[in-house]
Amino acid sequence: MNLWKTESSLEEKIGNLPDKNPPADLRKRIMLALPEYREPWFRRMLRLVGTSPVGYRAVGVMVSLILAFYGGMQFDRIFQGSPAASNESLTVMGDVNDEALFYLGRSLLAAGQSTEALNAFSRAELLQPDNPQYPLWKGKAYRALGALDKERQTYQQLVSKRPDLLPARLQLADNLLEDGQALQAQQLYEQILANYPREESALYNRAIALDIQGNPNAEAEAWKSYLEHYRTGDSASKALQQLQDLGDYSFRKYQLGSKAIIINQECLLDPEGHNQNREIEHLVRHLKTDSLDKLSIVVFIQNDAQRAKAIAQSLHKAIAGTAEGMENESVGLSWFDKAEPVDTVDKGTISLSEGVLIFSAPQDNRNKEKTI
Amino acid sequence: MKDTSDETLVQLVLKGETHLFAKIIERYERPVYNLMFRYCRSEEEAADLSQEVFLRVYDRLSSFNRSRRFFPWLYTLAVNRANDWHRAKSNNRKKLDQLFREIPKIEAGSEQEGRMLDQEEVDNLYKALDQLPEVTREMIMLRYRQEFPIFDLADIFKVSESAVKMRLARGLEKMKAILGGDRYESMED
Repeated sequence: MNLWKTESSLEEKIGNLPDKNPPADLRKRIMLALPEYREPWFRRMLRLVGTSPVGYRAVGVMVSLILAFYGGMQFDRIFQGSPAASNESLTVMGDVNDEALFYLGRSLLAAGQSTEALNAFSRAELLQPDNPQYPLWKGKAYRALGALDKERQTYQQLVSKRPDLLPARLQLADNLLEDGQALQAQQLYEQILANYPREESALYNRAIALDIQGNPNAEAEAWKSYLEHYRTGDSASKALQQLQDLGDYSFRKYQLGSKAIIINQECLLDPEGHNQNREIEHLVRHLKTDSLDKLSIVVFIQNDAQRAKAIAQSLHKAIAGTAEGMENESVGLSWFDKAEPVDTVDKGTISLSEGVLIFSAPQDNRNKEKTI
Repeated sequence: MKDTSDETLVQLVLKGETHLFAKIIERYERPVYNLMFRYCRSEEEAADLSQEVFLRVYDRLSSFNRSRRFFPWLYTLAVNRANDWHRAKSNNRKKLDQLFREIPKIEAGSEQEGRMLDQEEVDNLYKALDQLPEVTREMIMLRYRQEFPIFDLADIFKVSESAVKMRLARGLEKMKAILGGDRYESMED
């Protein structure tokens, strides 16, 4: 049994994973949606009658009455059933306010009762036409019902009423994209990005819209725009993969110990470029947070060993200058006047005339003193 | 009321003190919401599913067996709902997989900020967790994040305690392999 550890154990790290805060209004929503609690009838009766013989007789009479009533209801249903009865649950909404209808609608939507949810959102919107949340969610209910046209109309009306409303424009663009109207979706994402240049889903989905249109150059530029702003998580990994599938290796993933980080290689290879510092800082931030073995920098410049050496040395200098306390012997430099061979996802190999590799293994702690 | 046990709160709610259900929500909205978020990866949907779980809990309060502990019972309902959701949505999700998916982010100013892991590490851990079967992932989160005893996990997931231990061990091994070999030392064997 290992009772010691040399660094945070995996279990400890899982224990320290950040939680997401539930929405501040979640409790209020649930309490609003709560029906008034009704004790089950059999419990209520048991509590009321106790265990006396008189009580038993009362129970007997009440049960008989209930059975007779229930039997009558069943008879009525079987022989005079009316389709209106199936809508009874909806008419119960009566004089509920718009907020309660809204939360009820969301709850129904989550439960898969999309038609009822749509009804609730529509009624909330009728009661409070100025609240943009209601048509937004009405659109989601249409989406859940597979009614993309109705969904789109809902968002279009909302956008014409509130052109400043980012979620409405995003939902409309997503709807267009899902409906195969890639050009219109792309144009709308462009408009959104003109006002919100860092809007993550617009950056990402614009690239998908360009992919659908079969415009690889613009698509590659769109993935690069996404990666300029976002470098972590699933979406960044997918964006990088899409970019490299297009044959563009301007961004690459580097393995530093247990972490893989995405860096703009073009900037690293350009010591004069003003963006190199930004990439170096990004790299160093990760170097500082992990116990790493020797850092290796390998530069490939086809037919130009001098330039490869100059770039390797300038990278070393820039990294050492940014990372305080980094010793010379902790960085290994290599350079080649050859193209860099790169394995592709489909098990092929391509050659990059210019490339840089940066990698490091996690520090080997096995021989360090073990403490209890 | 702060120290009132869950079981007492349940009893009071059943007697008509409906407002006390808010106390139960306050205690458990966080783990339930996070469970739902791990399944659906959407804040809005996680909130809606959490609401639904609490409404279902409320609806079934009278069937709660007071000889059991309340939270595992509640969590069982939540896990069941999450699995139902997953089954219903799996086709839809495949279709939308290429669209942007929300990624859990560290929230600035959270109470964990002082001891938190950096975002890269969080991303890597979540990615590794994502590659586990859902039941194993949830067992790991309950065991190490919520510090649930093994017997509660066995109760929630309706398996034996030894099956829980085996799943936990295999899950951690797989995570270690994904995250990079022998970097992590185990605290319990």
